[in-house]
Amino acid sequence: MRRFLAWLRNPWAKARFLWVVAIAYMAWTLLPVGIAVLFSFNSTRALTAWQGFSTRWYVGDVNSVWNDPSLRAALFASLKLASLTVLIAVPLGVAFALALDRWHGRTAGTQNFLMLFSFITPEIAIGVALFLFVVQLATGIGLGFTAQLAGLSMYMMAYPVIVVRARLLTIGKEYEEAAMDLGAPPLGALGRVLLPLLTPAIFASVAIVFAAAIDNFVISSQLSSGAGDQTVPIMIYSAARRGPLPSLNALATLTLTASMLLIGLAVWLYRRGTRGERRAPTAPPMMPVA
Amino acid sequence: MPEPSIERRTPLSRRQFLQRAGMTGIALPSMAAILAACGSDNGGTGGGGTTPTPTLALARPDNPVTLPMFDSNPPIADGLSPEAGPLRIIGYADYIWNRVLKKFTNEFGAEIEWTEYATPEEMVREIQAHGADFDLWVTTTIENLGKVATAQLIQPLNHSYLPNVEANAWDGVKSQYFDVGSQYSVPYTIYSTGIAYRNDLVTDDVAAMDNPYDIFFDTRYAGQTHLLNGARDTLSVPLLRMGQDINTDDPAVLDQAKQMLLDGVASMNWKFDHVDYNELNNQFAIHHTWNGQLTYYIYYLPQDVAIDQFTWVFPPQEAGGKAGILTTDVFAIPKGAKNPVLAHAMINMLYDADIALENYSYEGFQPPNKAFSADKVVADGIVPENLRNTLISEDHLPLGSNPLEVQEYELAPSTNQLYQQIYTEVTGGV
Amino acid sequence: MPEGAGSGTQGAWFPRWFWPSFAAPATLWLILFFVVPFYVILGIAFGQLDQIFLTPIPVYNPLHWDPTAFVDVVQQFTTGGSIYQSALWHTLIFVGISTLLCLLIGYPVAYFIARHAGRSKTLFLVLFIAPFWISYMMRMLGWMNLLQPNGYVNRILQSLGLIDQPIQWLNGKPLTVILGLTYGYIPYMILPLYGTLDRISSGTLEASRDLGAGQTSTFLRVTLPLSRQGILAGIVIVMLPMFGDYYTTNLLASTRNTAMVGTLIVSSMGSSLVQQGASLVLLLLIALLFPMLYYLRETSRAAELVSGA
Repeated sequence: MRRFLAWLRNPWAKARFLWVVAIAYMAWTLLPVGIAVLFSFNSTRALTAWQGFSTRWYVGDVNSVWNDPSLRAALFASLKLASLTVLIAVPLGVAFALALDRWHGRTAGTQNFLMLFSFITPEIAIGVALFLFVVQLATGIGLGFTAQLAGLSMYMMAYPVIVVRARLLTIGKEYEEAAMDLGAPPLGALGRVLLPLLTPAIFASVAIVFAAAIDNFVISSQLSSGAGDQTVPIMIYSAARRGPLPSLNALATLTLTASMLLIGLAVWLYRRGTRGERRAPTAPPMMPVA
Repeated sequence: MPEPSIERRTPLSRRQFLQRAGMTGIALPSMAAILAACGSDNGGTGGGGTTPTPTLALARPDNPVTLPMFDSNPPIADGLSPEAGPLRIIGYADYIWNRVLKKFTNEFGAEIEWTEYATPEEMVREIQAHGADFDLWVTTTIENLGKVATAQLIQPLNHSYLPNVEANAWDGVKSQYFDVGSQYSVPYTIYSTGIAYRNDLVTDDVAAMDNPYDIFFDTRYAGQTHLLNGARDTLSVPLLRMGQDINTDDPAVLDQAKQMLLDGVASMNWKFDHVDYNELNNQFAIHHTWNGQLTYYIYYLPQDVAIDQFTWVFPPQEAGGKAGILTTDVFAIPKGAKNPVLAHAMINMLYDADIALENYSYEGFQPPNKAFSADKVVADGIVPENLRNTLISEDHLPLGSNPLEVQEYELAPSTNQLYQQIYTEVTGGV
Repeated sequence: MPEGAGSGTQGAWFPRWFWPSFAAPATLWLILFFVVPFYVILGIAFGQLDQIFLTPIPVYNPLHWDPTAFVDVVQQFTTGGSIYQSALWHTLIFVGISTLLCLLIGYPVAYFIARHAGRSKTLFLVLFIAPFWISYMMRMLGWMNLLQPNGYVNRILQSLGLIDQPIQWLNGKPLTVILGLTYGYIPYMILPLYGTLDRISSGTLEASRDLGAGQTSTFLRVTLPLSRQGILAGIVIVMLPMFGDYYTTNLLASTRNTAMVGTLIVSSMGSSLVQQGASLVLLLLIALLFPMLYYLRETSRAAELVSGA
């Protein structure tokens, strides 16, 4: 009753209107995706009307994700690119975050600026710059997987930097300094004391970079050579402009599931890892700090 | 809005172009190529002589070109045995049937690595950057052949490895104006570009029209028509409609063509693409396409559309006597290829009578092979009776022998640039 | 606080080279794959053209730069009716309207989650963050399924009696592109809005009410000014990628009437107009430099506030 009265007394009695707006918004953002997922289980080739449940577009049909070599190749290309991007971007980004948090040297500001600047530069500019770079200058790299990996790992380094720096704010320097006072060498202090404390943030970074890399379109498509490095988003883009089958929706659903699972796992691990601590004063770690 | 003249619109005017060409020549002596004007003597020497400053000769049917040979770029020696592979091919996606590729692997023990590109321009760029990474280039086109041979990006062929070509190729393709003596190239497919339309949605008899190209501009079919993309193919439509040379370098004519396309974009809302299987539904009535695509259509038709609802029109064969494109894609071997013997073997294999037909039954683009006949492929059900007129017979060869059956020739670079600018202007780069 | 205490004495525990060496690999990566590629763009935009293949010949020495191609592109923008000018107009109009729509839809949603979601706040936050982790292409694919001539959108409109014939949504309609852009980027608008609105303490609002301000005037005089930073950040962060967008318009429309600057950039890369494409990228960056710097300044200021608190 008290809550109800408080709700009435609320200076913003527009709340009811806002409820409607918010729910309509959620439906608007998520329903099309839900329907795209639904069509991946359609029993016919139709992509405009539901005609019964089937898994033929995943396994079985000659054009299913499992049986169509180009779709299967796209799935593997995406997984490979995203995993290796994580392996490069996360260590580089974590080290960078640690350094900038602890070191205030003359060039630190410039390096930080460069990192953030790369992150907000429109992807088309980065994609084209890297394309011309590997075609004209670094011809040894050339278009293809290596170029995609280099480009994405550069572009996505900023995620771990932002997430880890937010976490470092809540940790402070006491721990590793205490360890070193007790005689631990610098790397030992870092490895034994600081890294375990950073584990949740590192997990979060892994998940964010993986999910962002597996969804990336502009950079990976600009740097694609056309053979064997067509990732799922590139496939969707080119196939959607021709005549797609529900197997394309199935392919998209599979990558969606992969990144959702990983993000969910990372949220859970992050919560477990930081349980009982005061909350980080910045954005929740699962938000893509754009 | 009034359109300004083309001179004002194009970033590079002719004068600017010449200035720049001069500067480039000074700055980069290796690129000091002299551009031969159309119709002048070609600079090729033929027969293995050396030309220190190669001339890019623009081949035309009335100006056949013997491509230059270079001491630094000889063909491979006779009698070598095939390499271990893998044979690395660059070309359009899926341009040789997988089953044929497997046969090759079984016979020569070499795996195949296929790198696909969507356009010849991208392939030229890739060959420029990494030519030695490839052994066989499946989709070289006439308008690029002179460039890549003159710049020594491809190597001369050794015909002693190509007995099937000698035995089975149509006589008309053995020496053509763009590569006299087939020194650098052998044709892979012969194809025409024309009009495919849905005879149930379009009631006019397009073949009987005085100018069949008018159908692309018929606003009754606005939103139902698509044109091939790419600067040359798209611009060929207004040029052919006007009865002009599709290789013209006359700015006034090109400006007219551009204006015609801009008007058409506004009134017809054309879709531009070259993979038209998406448009086989009832929304699209008129297709600007290649004859070989129609054989492919059969596999992509939606359930409520049958192949006999399509009619093919190739204007040179029809009453109006308008010109049309009849051309070829050729094989070439990049310079520095690591498996040149295998590459020759693949070309030779594709000229085997049975394999050529087998490959055709999947690809739909016909080989200039003596084993190929319209009666046979229609009887075999590969091509339906109503599309028999898509097939090209031997008497249309050599290319250039019929003035109505034209090709997209190599253009002077400045003209090429102009075509590209008009194309971007018309399509907006979509 | 460790932050203040450490600043003067960081060298005491770690050797001088220790932390800089941690930053070095990432910095090297940035120089190699960010700074150098942008120099290549300069070298190409102001470089030469191979006169046989029409491929660019980069010139890396600024003393030999030739601005012809760059100047030509700039001139085309001022040439009435040229595709460059049309694409610029399309871009400005599409981005402008979409950004406005993002703000108009996004603000009430962010406001709701920050102030009124109550117990459902976590659920709403999860649902609201979900689109970030769904591939942009998948989200567009969903709409392409829905907007087909016989898709659900047309069927619903027909069954409601609003239209007789199916609308060809995907046939080059600017409206479809605008809605697609709005749909694609609105989560990025809501995020900073939510951030600032969530930080406005209810005490501030109560104070305003105690001082006799009504709902509307509290909103206009307190909430709106306090969320100004979030609004500006949101506008910048959706605008930056929208200005470089080409895939939304290509997927949903793909005609000259809907070509954007990004479309011209991407198509020029596959043609002989690479120099023009490189010049367009430079112009795009010049145009966006100010909002980018503004955004970086604001976020670093916000970070200082947070770490100082």
